[in-house]
Amino acid sequence: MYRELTMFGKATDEQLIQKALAGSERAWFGLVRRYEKRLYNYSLRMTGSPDDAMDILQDVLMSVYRNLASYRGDGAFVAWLFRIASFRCTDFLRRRGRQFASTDDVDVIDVSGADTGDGIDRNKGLMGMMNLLPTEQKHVIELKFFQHFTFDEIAGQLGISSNTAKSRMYAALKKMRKQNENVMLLKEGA
Amino acid sequence: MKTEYSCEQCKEQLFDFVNSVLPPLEKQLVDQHLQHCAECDTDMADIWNLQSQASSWRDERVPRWKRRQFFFDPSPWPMRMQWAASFASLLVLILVLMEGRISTVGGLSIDFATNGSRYVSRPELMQQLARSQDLQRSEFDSSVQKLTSAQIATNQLLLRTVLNVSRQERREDLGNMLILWEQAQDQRSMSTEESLQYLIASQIRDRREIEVLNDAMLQVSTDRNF
Repeated sequence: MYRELTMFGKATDEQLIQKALAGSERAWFGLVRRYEKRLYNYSLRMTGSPDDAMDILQDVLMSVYRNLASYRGDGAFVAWLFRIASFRCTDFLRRRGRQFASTDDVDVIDVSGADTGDGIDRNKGLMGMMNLLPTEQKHVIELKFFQHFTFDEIAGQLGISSNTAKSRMYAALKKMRKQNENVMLLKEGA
Repeated sequence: MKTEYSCEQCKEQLFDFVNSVLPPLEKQLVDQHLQHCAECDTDMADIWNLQSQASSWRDERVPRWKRRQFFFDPSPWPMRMQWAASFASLLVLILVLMEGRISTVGGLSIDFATNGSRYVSRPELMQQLARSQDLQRSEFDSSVQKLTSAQIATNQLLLRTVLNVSRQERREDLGNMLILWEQAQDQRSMSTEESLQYLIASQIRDRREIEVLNDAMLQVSTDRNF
């Protein structure tokens, strides 16, 4: 059946979920392969560490695997997936006690790579910038700018109001702007 | 006709404004607000900047990982067999306790000596110990003796072998020396023969020269007499 579905195009998330719930390992790995890169890069930006990102990816996927039966299909699977990912990420960052660690380093982190340089430098720069933000702001920026969810979807995923999501986004933007200005001043001073 | 937007209203629409998905009227209102509000204008620039930076993110590859093992076979079989060690320990404990005799007479005491076992008194134990020590000592002495005689035999064999080898080597050396000596003798006799030949030849030559001189002197004296 799964073969038949894929012959005429990509199987939908819901089709794969049904097959996986019926015991198809192949369908489950289809889902894993479909979202693992997106989830890994999400975790990478949230944590700034490839090892931590991998841990979170595995943690999230295992959680999805165990709770797949509880997915009711009343919303997009990707939203459900990222709700779990957000929860796991928050939990992970809280356990590591890192959510506010960056605030002390505001003046020393060089995020200039976000504007220039090659792909790796740009990624590092962006990760550096994300690392400056508290977890709750980081989530909003990630879900809005990288995952392209609407504010209502973000609100649903994080369990906050749409207005709170917006105000967190503006607060994060302000913080990043300040950081950029600090870096520029440092460069001019040097 | 709508009035101008407040900052709050503007900020609500700003993201859609940057992405050009606002209806024309709202777009115009945001545009008007931005013309005289520096703060909202800065926010718009921030959104635009971050959006362009986010779009430049290059997705990094997921490191290799064993998906099947992770989901369906999370621990290798030695790990899954960990219960076996606990089970074995428990079994041993049960067996030991089954053989044991717990008594509270005269204080708590646990005795593992049951029907199959025999109590041994201290003097008897000391006697057994002494016997066992004697036995061990005699075994040790005989072992040492055997070892010593074996060592002597080995040494003799070794010495004999060394002597044989040395004798043979000496014989070979003498043979070689004899050959060398004969060669030297041959060479010396040859050189002596050559020397004698040379000496004889030089004596013959000298005698001829003397004869020539005698003849010459005779000739001179004959000439003087005339």
